[in-house]
Amino acid sequence: MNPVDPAQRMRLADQVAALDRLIARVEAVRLSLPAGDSSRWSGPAGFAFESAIRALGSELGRAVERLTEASAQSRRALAGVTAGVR
Amino acid sequence: MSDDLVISGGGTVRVETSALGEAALRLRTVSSELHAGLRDLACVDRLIGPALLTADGSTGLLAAELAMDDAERSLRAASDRTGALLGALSAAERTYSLAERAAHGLWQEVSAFLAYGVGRALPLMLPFLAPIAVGVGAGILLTPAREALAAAFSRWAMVNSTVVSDPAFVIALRTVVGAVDDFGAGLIGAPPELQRLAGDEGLGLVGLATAARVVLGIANRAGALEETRVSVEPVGAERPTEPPSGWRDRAARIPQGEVPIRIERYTVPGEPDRFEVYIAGTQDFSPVAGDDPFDMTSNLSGVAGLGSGSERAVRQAMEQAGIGPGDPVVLSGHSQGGLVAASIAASGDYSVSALFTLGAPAAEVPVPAEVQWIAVEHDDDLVPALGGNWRGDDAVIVRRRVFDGEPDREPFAPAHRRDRYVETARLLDGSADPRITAIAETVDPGSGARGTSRLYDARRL
Repeated sequence: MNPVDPAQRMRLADQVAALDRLIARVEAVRLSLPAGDSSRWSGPAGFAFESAIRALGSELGRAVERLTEASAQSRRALAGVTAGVR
Repeated sequence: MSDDLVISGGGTVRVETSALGEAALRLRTVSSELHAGLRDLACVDRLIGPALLTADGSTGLLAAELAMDDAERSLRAASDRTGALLGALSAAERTYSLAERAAHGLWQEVSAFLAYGVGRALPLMLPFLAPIAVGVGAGILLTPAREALAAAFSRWAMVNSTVVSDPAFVIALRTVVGAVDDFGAGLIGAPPELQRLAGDEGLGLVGLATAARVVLGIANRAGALEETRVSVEPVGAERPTEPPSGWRDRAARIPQGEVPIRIERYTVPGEPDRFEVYIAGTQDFSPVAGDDPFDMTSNLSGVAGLGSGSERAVRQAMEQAGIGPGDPVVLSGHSQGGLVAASIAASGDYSVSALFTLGAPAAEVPVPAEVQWIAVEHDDDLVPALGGNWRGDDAVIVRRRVFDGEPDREPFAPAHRRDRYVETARLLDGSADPRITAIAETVDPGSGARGTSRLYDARRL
């Protein structure tokens, strides 16, 4: 990447900002999942519901983790580009 | 005191389908958010093209790209899981409801069979039971300390209010009330096949209403529970009012004192006027009709479907308020007021857009499916149980247990009090259940509506 190209730097900054917004969005989705407790309905169906909600939460947790990694790497690349400009 | 509401689509479905419904609602939001998130991620992914990635000296952008690919896979998997879970929840809701309904049907069959058997056996037991009953009755009538006996009974009722407020007692009472026609059929020796065909479990030609008519017929011979004509008069002047802000507000507007009917009229430019009618519960518990039509006579006449004095009073008030057959009206009532509201809705004489009953013995009133009905019942309130078993799936039934532990020391049905139902209605306002919110939307006259309110008093003649 050309370190002095301002358009490319802007796109990189946009990527960081968009990833941060996406992390917040997926995190909010994860927190809004229905409670996975089976106190209100019991038996095998309650257990299956509980497991499915737990698995969904884990999957969303993985997505947040990978998006955070993408954001961190993009931020690092942006820092490198900005340092090159100076 | 519990804040948990159980909302079901009718019948006596005891599974918390509201919990399933709310979970489904949340998952639908999750699903649409995940779809939007995937779209956003695709946009982010396009910001840095492959040319830039390879031109980048460091491996940072490539690592970010790989991480985004992983995130996309996870989001897609989460989206698929959400879709599958939504399908399963919908199937579970249907299956639970079917299973519960089948169990309830079986329970009704068994109780009807037992009640019929008790009715058949009673004449055989009469020679043994009659002397005991006569002895106890004579003892009560002849004792010089009758007032002390009544006071002692009242104290007993207060001390044992836990018994009548026990949900198990309420279920048992509903079962007994629901099977009273079978008991009667057994007592008169009707063939069991005929009773099965004509009774609640069959064509529904005879049921609780028939039993109530028999009781009324017997009581009328003794000069009790006799219906009369009624008259209605507006009390005070019309007052400006705001539209009710929700279910709690509606419950709180139901009159409690001696003036039993409140009617509000809302004018919305370009639309027909809308009306809200609020109807109080029983005011007079005497078995002999006095001045007040909101009495025990009306309770029995209402359950019997014979057009009670209180129902006629509300109809007169509605006529005086200018409510025409095509004007949209919301009927709200507590206890007997709910029974009256349901009976008027069942008649089809008015364009009832919603029916909101609190602790009403109205389960067997044949309200048409097109009338939106929210029936609130407390698990520890025996009064709704006196209306028998729910039929059909059309009413949205909201249940709540008021007392987790010991109920308040009150002489009669502490969970039946209107203020307890106002509290439940407040919880209902916070419910995201789509059945409740859909009804709330249709009855909202809008913020631009201007309203007036008037009270109506009713008297027996």
